[in-house]
Amino acid sequence: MTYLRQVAAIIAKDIAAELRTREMLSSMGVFSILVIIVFNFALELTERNIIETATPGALWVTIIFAGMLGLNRSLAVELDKGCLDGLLLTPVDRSAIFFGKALGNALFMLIVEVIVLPLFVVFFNVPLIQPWVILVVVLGTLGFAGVGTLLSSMAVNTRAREVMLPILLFPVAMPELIAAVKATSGAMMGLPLSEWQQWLNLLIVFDVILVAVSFMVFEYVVEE
Amino acid sequence: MSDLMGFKNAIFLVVAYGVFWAGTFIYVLTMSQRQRNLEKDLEALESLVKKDNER
Amino acid sequence: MKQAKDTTGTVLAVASAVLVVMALVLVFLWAPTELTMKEVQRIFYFHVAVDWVGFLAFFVTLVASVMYLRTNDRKWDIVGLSSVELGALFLTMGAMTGSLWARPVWNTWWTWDARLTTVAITWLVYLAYLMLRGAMDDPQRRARFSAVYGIVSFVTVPLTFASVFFLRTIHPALLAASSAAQGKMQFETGLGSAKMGMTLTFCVIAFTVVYITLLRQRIRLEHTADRVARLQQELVA
Repeated sequence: MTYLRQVAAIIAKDIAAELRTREMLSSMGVFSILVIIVFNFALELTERNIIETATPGALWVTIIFAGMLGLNRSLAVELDKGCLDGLLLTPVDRSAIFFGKALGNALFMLIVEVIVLPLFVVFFNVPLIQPWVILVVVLGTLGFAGVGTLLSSMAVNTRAREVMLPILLFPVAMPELIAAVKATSGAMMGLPLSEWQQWLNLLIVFDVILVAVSFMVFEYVVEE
Repeated sequence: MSDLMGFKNAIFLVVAYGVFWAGTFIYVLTMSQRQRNLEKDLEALESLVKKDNER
Repeated sequence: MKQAKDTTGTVLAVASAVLVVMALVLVFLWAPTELTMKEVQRIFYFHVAVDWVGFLAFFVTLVASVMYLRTNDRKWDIVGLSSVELGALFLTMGAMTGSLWARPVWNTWWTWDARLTTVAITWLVYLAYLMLRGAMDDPQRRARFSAVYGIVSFVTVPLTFASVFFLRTIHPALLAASSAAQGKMQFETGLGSAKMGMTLTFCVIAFTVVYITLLRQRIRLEHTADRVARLQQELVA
């Protein structure tokens, strides 16, 4: 099996598993809605300019919290059902497992974001359904899912499972988060690309670095 | 006037250096204590192992 | 069997003590008085030195982590763990003293500028590393996971600094309160500035020696604990 087909196979397996129960997606979705409602009351987003400055941040907080739910679930199921061991027994490249899992996790996050973005538009009246904004959201999601997959593979093997992932992940994902929020803000307000392009560039650079490092060390996490 | 500010701020200076001193001191103390305890354990265990081997 | 005499340890400890005393002398008696902040500015010398060591410790952990993954030798795991503990200690002291310096000078306990944010994030990484270890029982796995995290989390240090740096340079309005604070110190003479530089360098060297001394002690402590654990297992067997 070629590398790409290995990766695709792993993604397909995750999708098939999720389609059966739809547990993960529904909990991520419901959780996001709840977070949005909480933000609505917590932030008192009444004045226009406050909405514009606060919403990108609120959006990304929603995304990463829902994302972590998904990451936790995805890897916990692997461990509990012994799927990971099964995968390791096959002649699949370790890095293919990483990319397969990471892309699968990213995909699930993206599906949830398809719900979250319109909800934000509806509740806060912010123009999020624009090509640049979508690009930024996709990029941020990819980076977060990449390093998140690595770290949740570790977290799931500890005593404090669910709690461990945010502790490990937040400091590491912080710079990517900052760049994503700033880029979303620039894109959302329709500013000319030159004004916020450096954030987009930073986001891409961070993504590449985080994913590259994660992919390089992943084998050490799964080997026995 | 600025002298007064100097004096008030001196408190911060004193506390700050206190932090350095206290921090290092406490860490060194805890480490020495653990080391002493461990060495005691080590001695006890080693004599136990010797007795075990002699048997 | 008593531990053999530890000459290197004693030498290092004495050297550390001497250097620290000399540093104190320099800081309080030789270094010039800053024009606007007056005496409070003297916190700066130890504060920067301690922060520097806090980050140096991370680099040491990074190297130890890489070496552990390559060799699977417990000794590298011990170096990584010891360095993180010390790094956490030094950064805690650095952050506390930084606050104590910030309050009288800028009238705020904290500010989210590039340097302080990076200190905060690095501190959180140290905490995460220690919690990760605390939540794992299998020594080999624990060592491996710690090493992996040590490597992955290291990249966040320069990345965080870069992102906050860009954040602040684009939004000067946010900087209003702390712009004066960005380490802009003034001394009466050019010689004064030079003296400040030399004092600072000396403090950094002194604290590096302190770090090396403490690191060595911590490593030996862990090796002793290992021996105790091994003997306990031998007895049980």
